[in-house]
Amino acid sequence: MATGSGAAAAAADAEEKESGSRMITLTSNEGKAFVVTEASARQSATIRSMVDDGGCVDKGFPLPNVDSKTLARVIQYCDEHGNKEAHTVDERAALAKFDKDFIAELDADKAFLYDVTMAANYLHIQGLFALTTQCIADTIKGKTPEEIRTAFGIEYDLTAQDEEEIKEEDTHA
Amino acid sequence: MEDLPDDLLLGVLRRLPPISLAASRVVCSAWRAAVDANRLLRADLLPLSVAGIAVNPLSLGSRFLCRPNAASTIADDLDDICNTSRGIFNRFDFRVSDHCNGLFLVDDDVQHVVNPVTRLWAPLPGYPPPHPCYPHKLFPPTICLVYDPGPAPQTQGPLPRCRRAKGNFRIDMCLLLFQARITEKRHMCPVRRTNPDHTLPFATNARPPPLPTFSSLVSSPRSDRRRRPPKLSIPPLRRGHQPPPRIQFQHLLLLLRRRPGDPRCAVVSPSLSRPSRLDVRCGGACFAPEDRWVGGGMGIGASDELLGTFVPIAVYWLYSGLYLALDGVERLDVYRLHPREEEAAKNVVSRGTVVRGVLVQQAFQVAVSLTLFAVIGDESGIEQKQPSALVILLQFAIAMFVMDTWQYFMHRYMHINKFLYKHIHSKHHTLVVPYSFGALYNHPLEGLILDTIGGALSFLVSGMTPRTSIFFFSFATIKTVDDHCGLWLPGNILHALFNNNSAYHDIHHQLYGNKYNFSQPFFVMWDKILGTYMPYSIEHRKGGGFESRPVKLNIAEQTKTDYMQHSGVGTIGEGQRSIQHFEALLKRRQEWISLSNGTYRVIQSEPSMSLRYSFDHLMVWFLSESHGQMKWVLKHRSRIASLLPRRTTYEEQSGESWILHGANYQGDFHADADDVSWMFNLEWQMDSYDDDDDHHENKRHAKYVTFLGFHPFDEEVVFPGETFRRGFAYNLNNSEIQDLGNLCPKFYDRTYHQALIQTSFVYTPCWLD
Repeated sequence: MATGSGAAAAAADAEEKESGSRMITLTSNEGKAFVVTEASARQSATIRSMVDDGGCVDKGFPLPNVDSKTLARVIQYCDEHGNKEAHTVDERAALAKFDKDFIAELDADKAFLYDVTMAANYLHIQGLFALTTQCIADTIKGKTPEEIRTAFGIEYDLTAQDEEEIKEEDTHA
Repeated sequence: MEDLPDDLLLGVLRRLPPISLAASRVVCSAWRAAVDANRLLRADLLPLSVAGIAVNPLSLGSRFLCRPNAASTIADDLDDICNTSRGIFNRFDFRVSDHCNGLFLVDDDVQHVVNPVTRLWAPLPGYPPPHPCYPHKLFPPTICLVYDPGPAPQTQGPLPRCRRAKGNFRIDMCLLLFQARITEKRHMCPVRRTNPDHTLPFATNARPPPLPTFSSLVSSPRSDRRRRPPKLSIPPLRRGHQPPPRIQFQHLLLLLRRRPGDPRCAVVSPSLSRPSRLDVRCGGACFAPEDRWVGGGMGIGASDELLGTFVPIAVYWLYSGLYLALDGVERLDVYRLHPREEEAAKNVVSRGTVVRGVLVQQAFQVAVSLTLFAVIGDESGIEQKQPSALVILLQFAIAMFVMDTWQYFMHRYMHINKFLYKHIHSKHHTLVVPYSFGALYNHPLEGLILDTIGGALSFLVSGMTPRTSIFFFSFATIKTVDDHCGLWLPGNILHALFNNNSAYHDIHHQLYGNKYNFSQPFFVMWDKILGTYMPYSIEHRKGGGFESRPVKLNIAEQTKTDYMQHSGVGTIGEGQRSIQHFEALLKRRQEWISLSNGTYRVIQSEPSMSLRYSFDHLMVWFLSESHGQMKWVLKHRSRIASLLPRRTTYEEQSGESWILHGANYQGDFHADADDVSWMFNLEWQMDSYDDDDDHHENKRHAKYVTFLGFHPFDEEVVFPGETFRRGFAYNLNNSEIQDLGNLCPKFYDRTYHQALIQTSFVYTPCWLD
């Protein structure tokens, strides 16, 4: 268990009342195993569908596209959102605060942010994907194309034909 | 980032507003392809789509008829904004009073302009100083949101020229509210610009960013030029055959409309001659010169007091002389309320006696008035200044009320008290067939009590100047003579304006009406209040002419009339302008003019037998411009009522249809949005209810068709509604009909099923970030 073992254990206690409460093992591409509650793992639509299909729950899920560092961070998000209730205003506010801190931390390291985003995309974790893409989108917002290129380290590769088109559109618009 | 997988890039790009998308599109070829391939420059967020229809039901807050998923951008956000911004909005009362390109004018104690998409709102800056004659309290200005689609202020003066236009649509003030240029990074979000770290709240329970003040929404073109960031390009939208959007400059004009007829009003007129590439065209407005009523002198060397005494007498004889002359014209016999012979048969006194009696009466009256003026007259010799026109009008109204009240009770008492009637008032009633100069044929004492004291009272209570009193007494005299004229002339404006007219008073002069219709000379209110009201009906008499007959009042008729008067409120909305002035009201006709896409369309409803709001025939006129001539061309005509589908088919379609959302539903409106079962239930109930009724009378279920608005961008589409049941989209070309959804708010149960939509606005979201 990488993170939040106490919280996960407490959640596991609660989950035991339900018949379907299990622990699930996720394996990163480096072979490191992470044990999470099922509620936490169900945040991922990919895993959820596999669990529901009654597949290899016991064997664990190998995730060849995700490295350990990223997976740990993703599980941190899943634990928070999977194991906590969000019924009252306070609970929602707490989650929102978690999201805010979570993304602020990620935003500092852009490369890691993209890794997490890709993992979220691969695992189909909707909330996390929305969170990270919004964060990236916010950096694009309000920038000129040149600024965007600098921010993302993109090389200008538009052809002359493209430029012609853009010019024409420009006069149009 | 360069090797971001496509779906990740897409996920990011999807979250960008159009302006940033446009920028992203020229970043690199991969991005460009991603934007183009997925059509991310979402047309539906540019002001080219219809996201819903805001309807204002009678006595309820606004409702939004829109797709279930669109609700989050309209109703939800509005609700949020209105709740979180401040406590002013009473959730239940909040109404959208106008809409223009994605902005709502929200009406409450304070008026606000709100963009539900950007979650920004700004209060209106207040009204301009009122004209002295028209204080805002008495004549609250009507506020409308419209565009000035003229060229950008950089290239032209701030306000386009004004042209006089016919019609009652007048505007007396306009403000440049804000201008938007899609190709520029703009001033819509000053908060975000000054605070770059601030991110849009994406968690649903996050609060919207602090809101800009009005002044930050209002942009001054000059200061804006300095701060303008580098120009970005926005690609045209390639959506099938549709032309690219050319919404480039949008100056929002805030127009304050005062009541019709205000002399200060300026006029908005279509400026169709101006070549324009814009999709939205209406016109400019500017201020009209401040012309005030200037009270002129009478130019006669007599004091106002004397004139006030003698002018009414002169008026009396002149006006009755006019009627006497008309009396001689045999051709006018067809308009007489009594046949010519009846006068001699029923009236007990001769005309000569009447003239003598009136002269005595008047002499008496002159003596009294002169005494009165001598007592209260101003001896300083300084003329009293005439107050403003409004004050004069008020004084007139008060005077009319006082005179009516006094005369009603005295008159009625003279009828009730046998002694007074026998010795005094019966003299006037010797004229069973009244004629003009018999109006003042009274016992001198009655003249003193009714007319002189009544006049003096109204003069004193209203506080009018002697000069005003000249006009007032003359008017009262004319009215009295007119009530006794015994003719029902077509086009008599006094008959049209006052319920209390010659036919009404004629009833009182008849034996059967002797105890009714005491009111004179102006209004009938006291009769109505105290139950002595006997309405008349004008009927054709055998042998030519008219006859005034009492009718039993049909209550339904009365409610209908009241309702008609009540509902004659004109509204102006973006994409639709409903002009329902007095004339249209009389003709029971409604007209809408669309201000979008450069065409002017009028919908007219032919008078239908049902409610005024309803119509059977849909007629759409387009204003066509060719060779410098503007002409109305009838483009479409159909019997819309019969085209709308039977209600029994609705149930099948309601799955796809739009859902009525209330930004201000009491309680949790999400439950309403998600749970549509109440809709089905309602439909089912309605159907069964209607089916029962159908057996009785098929005709009664003629649909009440109402008009929700034009499609702002597709000139083939209009939105009719079956009043308070369903909203439809109707294609004028092929008569195709699409059911949009239920229009009936939750709180309107079926006893209200003839309830009303007072106004409606076709909402076109505009996301200019």
